[in-house]
Amino acid sequence: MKALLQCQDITINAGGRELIHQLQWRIEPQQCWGILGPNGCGKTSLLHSLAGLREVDEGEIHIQQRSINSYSQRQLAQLIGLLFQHSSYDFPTRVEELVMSGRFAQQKLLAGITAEDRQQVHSAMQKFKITQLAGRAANTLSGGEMQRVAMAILHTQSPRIALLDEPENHLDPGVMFKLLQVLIEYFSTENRSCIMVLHDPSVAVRLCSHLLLLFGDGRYLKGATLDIATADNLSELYAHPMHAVSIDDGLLFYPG
Amino acid sequence: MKQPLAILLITLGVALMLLLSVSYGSISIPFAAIIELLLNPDETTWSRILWELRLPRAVFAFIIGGLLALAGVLMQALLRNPLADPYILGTSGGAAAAMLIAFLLAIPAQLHAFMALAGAAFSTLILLSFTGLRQGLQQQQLLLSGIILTTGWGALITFLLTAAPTAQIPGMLFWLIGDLGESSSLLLPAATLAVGLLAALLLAKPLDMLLLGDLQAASLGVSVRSLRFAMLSVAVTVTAIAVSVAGPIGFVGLVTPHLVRFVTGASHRRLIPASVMTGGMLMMAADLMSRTIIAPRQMPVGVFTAMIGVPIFLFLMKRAQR
Repeated sequence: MKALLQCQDITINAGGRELIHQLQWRIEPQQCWGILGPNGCGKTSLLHSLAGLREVDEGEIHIQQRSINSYSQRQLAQLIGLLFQHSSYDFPTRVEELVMSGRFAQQKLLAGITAEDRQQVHSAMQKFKITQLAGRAANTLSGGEMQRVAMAILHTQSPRIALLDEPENHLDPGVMFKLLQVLIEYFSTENRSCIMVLHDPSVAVRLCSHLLLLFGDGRYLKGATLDIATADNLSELYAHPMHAVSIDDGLLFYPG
Repeated sequence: MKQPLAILLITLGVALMLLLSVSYGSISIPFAAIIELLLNPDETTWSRILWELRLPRAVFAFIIGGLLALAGVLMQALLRNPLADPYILGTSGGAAAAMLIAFLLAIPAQLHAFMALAGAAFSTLILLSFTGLRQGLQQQQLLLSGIILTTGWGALITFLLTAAPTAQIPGMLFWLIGDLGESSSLLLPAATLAVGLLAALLLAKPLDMLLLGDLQAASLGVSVRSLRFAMLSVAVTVTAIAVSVAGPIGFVGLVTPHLVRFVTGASHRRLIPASVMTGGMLMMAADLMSRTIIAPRQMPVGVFTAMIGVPIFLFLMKRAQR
């Protein structure tokens, strides 16, 4: 199967340290990757590089067999989208209009809003249960409401690859699983995939088909979730003893 | 508020203010006479006052207000800071200092606009070299840098005034506070407003996106760098032209978009034209007051925009901190 996204020997440095050393990584359609690692290990930097918002220090990123640098910003936005760690908004734009901004890369600069645009916005707002917020000013939203709006924007953008940076931020556990499942379901359809940075290994094991562990000193480990998510690997990753418990058909991890 | 209603209200407001502006002054002209004279100009004193003095001045005030409001909208979007404005960020100050240098060096009037442009651009470059165009910019840091810069330009302006020949000082002072009395040609500011408005409207959609922050806008497909460069050029040019013909008039650029957002929301497709209209209306109102309150003497219009603008600014600042 052809890779949607491919990292060839990419190296990411920050603050004078090498965080990720020569990462080789293939993401194929319908895969859902979780990225785990301690604070400051380069998770967000990696996502930003994959989204074309940050240059890598070495190596090349290919999206659908073409170098990421060969795409315009607009073309890139049709292929890859990013849910940011924090979304804040200081202006009183109506929520509905804000969600419409996900359609930007599909719209012609001077064209009006099409029926297709409206349809996409409407269905995204329904999926993330923000229909009742449509007329609210975006600068009055709570953290959790803003996170739903940000998810709806990403859904409306409808890229091939969704990058989620700590999508559980601001959401309580019940809501978080429901909303993440909506996103994952959408981005696991044919020709799509998603990559998410998570804090909680138990969440990652439950949601992701594959895992990438970033140790923060250049090393990494990747593979199918059940091969990678072991107490030993996670203990080394977080430099703290981690214990695993099997419950029903799932795995739970907790720090010792 | 419903959109058509808002547009209707703003248009009515502009028409009403225009009527008041041409009616009141050292000699009042009744409304009925104005309508009559607008349709059939004649050779009476009223007609001449209306056509040669009041109407050009009201239109001039409207254009200047529109230019400043447009600059305010653009700067607030570009710096993603609802408290940004060319006066507070030092852009007007840079243009004003350059204009005073032009007066002192007796540079021909046709070149004044270029001097103002150079001053405004220079001041903006200084500001951006310290605060950058990056996202996540601290509001306080940006505002503080702008205010310090404005203070610096103020010092230079005082120095230039001190060094100026005594005969030139009153004129320079009056111009500095913002003056619509010396209305020169309407052509340059009107053309600048038309071109600036068109450019801003063409880019209204990406400007909306920029409010999400640079990174988010880029990830949704906006070419942030070129957009910023284009819009900053428009904002600086529009400010410089307004300053070169009317002096550095403060607070219209800051307050107008704020007031308008209450009505139209933040969407630039509506905010831009509504702000231009409202800025023009507010400037006509300030000009009317400056002409009538201590008539027959006139006050510089900048006195009124500041007296209204300062309390509003402080109020907005307090709200933004919450």
